[in-house]
Amino acid sequence: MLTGRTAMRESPPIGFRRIVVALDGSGHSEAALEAAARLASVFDAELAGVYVEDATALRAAEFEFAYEASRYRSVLTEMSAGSMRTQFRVQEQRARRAFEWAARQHRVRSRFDVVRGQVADELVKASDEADLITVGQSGSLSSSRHKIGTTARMVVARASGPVLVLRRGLRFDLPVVVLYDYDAVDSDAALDIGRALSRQDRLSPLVVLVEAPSPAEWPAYERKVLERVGPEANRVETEPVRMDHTADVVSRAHRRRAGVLIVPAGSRGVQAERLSGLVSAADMPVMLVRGPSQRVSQNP
Amino acid sequence: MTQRTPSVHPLSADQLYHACRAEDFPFASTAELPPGPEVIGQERAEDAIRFGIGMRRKGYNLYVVGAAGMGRRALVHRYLEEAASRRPVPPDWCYVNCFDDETAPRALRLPAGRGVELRDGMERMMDDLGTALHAAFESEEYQQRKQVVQEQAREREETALQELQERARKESIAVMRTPTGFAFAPLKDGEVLSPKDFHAIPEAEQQHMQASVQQFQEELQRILRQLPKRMRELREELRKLNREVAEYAMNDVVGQLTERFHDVPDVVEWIETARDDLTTQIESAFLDTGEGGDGQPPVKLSDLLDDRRYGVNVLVDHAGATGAPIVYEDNPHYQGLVGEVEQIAQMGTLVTDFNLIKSGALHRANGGFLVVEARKLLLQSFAWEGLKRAMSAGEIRIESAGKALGLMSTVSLEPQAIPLDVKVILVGEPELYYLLQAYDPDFAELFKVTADFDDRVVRNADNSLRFAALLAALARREDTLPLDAASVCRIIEHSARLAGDAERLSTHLQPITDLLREADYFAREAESDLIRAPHVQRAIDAWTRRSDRLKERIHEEILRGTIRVETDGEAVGQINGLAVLQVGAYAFGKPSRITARVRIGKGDVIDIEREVALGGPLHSKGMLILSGYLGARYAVEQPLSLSASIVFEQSYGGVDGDSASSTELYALLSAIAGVPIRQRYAVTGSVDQHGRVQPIGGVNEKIEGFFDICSARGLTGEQGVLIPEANVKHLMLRPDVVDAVRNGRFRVFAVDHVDRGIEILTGMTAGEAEDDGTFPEGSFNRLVTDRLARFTERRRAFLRHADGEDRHA
Repeated sequence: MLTGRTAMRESPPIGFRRIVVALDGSGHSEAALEAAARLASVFDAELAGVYVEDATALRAAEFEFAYEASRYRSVLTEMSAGSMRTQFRVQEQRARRAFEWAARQHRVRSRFDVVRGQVADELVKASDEADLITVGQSGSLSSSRHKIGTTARMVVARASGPVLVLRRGLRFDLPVVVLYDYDAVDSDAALDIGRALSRQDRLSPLVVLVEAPSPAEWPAYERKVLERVGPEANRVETEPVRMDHTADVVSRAHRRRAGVLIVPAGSRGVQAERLSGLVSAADMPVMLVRGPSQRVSQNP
Repeated sequence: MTQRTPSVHPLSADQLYHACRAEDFPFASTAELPPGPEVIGQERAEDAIRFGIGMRRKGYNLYVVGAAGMGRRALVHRYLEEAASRRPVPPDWCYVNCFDDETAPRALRLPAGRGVELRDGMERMMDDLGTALHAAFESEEYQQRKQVVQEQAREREETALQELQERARKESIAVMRTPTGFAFAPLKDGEVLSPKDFHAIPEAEQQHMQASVQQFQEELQRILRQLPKRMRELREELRKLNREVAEYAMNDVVGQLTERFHDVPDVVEWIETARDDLTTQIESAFLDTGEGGDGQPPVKLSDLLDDRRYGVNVLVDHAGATGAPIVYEDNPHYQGLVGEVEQIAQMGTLVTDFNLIKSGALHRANGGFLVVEARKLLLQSFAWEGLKRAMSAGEIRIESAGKALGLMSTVSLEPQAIPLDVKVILVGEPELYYLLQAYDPDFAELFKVTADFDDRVVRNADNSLRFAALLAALARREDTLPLDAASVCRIIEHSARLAGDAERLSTHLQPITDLLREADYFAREAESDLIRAPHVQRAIDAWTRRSDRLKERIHEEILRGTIRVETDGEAVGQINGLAVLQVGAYAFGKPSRITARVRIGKGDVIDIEREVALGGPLHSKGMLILSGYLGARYAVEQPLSLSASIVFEQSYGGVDGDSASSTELYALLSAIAGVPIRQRYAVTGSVDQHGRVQPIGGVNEKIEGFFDICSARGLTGEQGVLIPEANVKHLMLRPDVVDAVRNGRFRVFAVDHVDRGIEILTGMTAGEAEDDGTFPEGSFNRLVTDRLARFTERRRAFLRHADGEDRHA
């Protein structure tokens, strides 16, 4: 369990100072909000909620022939710019209420911004000014629970910093499972974030999935990871994994009952086209780590 | 006036006490005796009990009538044990969940001892199912099959949507989310056109785009409309998958249990119902369609394997029993008899389920015997009605008293009724029996057999020996020292005294048991190895001493002269009567002075007690009888021209009973005849209209009461008591009284007619009537008739005179 401020004060000055969460009032975004607020509390970061009014939809509503198709209505509904704005306002108010409640609940500094524009663009823009962005994974046309949505996919693809993706019903928690790929530049940053997170509970192990080219080389690879971790090596549990095999990664993380899976961008396991597959299959919060290493302190 | 010795002789000392002779007993100590039954002389009751227990038909329940402490329970128990051991052990009963209607738990009947086996088996089965189901539902195979199902469904849906999306893009139409759905808009260079830009493009193109948008909108709506149906199909498929997996995982485990109970079809059937219920629960629980929007928290398998839901509440467990149960319910309240459904508070509300059903005495006694004390039963609200309802209906239906009476109808459980086959034995006092017979029409229907305990038995050699055996049994049960033959004799004599009859023994065991324990105390104090007669006597004396404070106070006041009772000299119209006072279990005699005064009148005998409503009806009756005797004996041919008043002097409470009617008659006759009565006598006995003296109760106490006063003042040898002849057989007097009589210092006379009494009391001949109705000159009765004749004469003269005066006036 992440335990909040007390634990935070004991933790080294690593981590996130500003966490952005994308809000649209849906269940998925509430899961993202809860995770973001918990992280903000742990790292004493500012929680920044962003609600984007979709300019495209607004524009579409201006056509006199525009109608809306809905899963919950059997007939098409007429659209207008006015009705669309009302819809956005209602959605924004819902999102704001949830946001304020979460911020109060976790006692974190917070701000809530409403912007208008292309949703993915605005979120990527917001993530540039933050250390972490959390998004709900929905948004696909079919609204499938497992499949990552268009918006989330675009944020994952384009954000410059770490992205945490969750869906409704998932809870961001310990233990942390980190995928460590020697070929990926962001592996060390991913490991550092994993260390910082798992430090919240001394009993919780930090699981590191590592791929060695052959069984004979495994001890050497494992040792490198432990050296990298340093004094906390005794809490680390390593496990070999087949990096390019999404199912293997996911099933090992599942077996460890991972509360979050941290993967470095650029790893073979999470190349853009397979990323959505990983997130869909993982069925657990997934944090993609990427970006300048100064975002995360290297020396805990 | 001739004086002569009375024609009646005093009773001999032997007539005053029917002693029991130790040498008649063939034992020296009760330790030599085999313990006998703890009851004697109850053949009638025993026959009834045997019949009642043996008769196995509806309504043949038993009411054992008798006062407390008569060994009713012990006797009933003896017969019950015998009968119960011959009967088969009844089945176990369990309550289990009825999955179709959880408010009506189901009753399961199992062979004795197998209820617990079922409960444990179910517990074990649920454990095993937990393991098996977890393994099955967490297996890769299940997850994969589930994903395949989900994927297939999703693919069908997605293909349609993607295809639509694709076609839209080709026609430069964008699809986008809105907060409540989806919308289409014209696209150009990857950007949604603004209306302004749209209007800038050629008209034909505009129209084409508009038509496309409309077409796509409708198509999408059509696809979306299919979603609920597809979702339903998906859920159905998942349900099927879950059922298959669950059934496969459970079959073996459930099969093991059903195999164990193959001989109890009901149980097998229920286990299968439970399995089906669990399957249904599981198949609906894991309907994770892979879609957002069901909004339900995921169900945990461990929540479904609910011990309470699939538990077994063993209501009656006869494991290890031999024979039919005998249940003594000492606290027969309503729920204690028919059972109850308990409730537990959960988050401020009361909840319940079949696990909280508690058995009642009827459940435990089902198939056997239930023994209840009638008084306790009737003291408990609704308990009697509840018991009767169960007995009449032949089944035990657990419902709250409030509900049974129609007072409340809160939603609670209505457990399936359990068939009842029980023999109920009510043990109670005769008063209750007669009340129930009189006022409860169901009673005679339900309790057809009455075992009536006698409170006394004939005192003969056989019964005395049985009594000794009974004492041996009591001594063993109470763990007292054994008794020697003399102490047994003393207790038998005491028992006769308790019965108030030298020829009977009391069957009340309670005072006998108490006496035994107390005698044991004194025997041990004296370091004796046997209870001996003096110990028994000491216990009796100690008990008397503890109880006789009031007697002592009254006797003290008599001796001090506050209450006036004369024990020597003579007086006209005054006599010593004898009353009995009862304080708790202790009764004692109190001498009372009765006086009578006469004057000319019109034939009234005034009972002062009655005039002031201090006399009871029996007393009044006695007075009227003696008036009748007076008139018929002494004034047949002339009007009874006297007015008399009779009173119990210094009596401030009520007086009832007719045991003083002869005494009152003596006082009255003495007053009429003007002949003094010897105050050294006290008299008891009722009288009939012919002057015959009839027996009364408490004769021993009465004699002793007068003896105590005389003894305190000094026995002269002349003092004594007149008792009815019919009471001689009741005499069991205290040893000191018997001794005084033996030594000629006190006397007891038995009289059968007032004439005999008159002779003793006055020393005169009573006198028999001649043929002409006159009594011999010099006899007492002659004095009475003469005086009455004078009264009549004077009254007549007086009336004449008064009449003349009236005429003059």
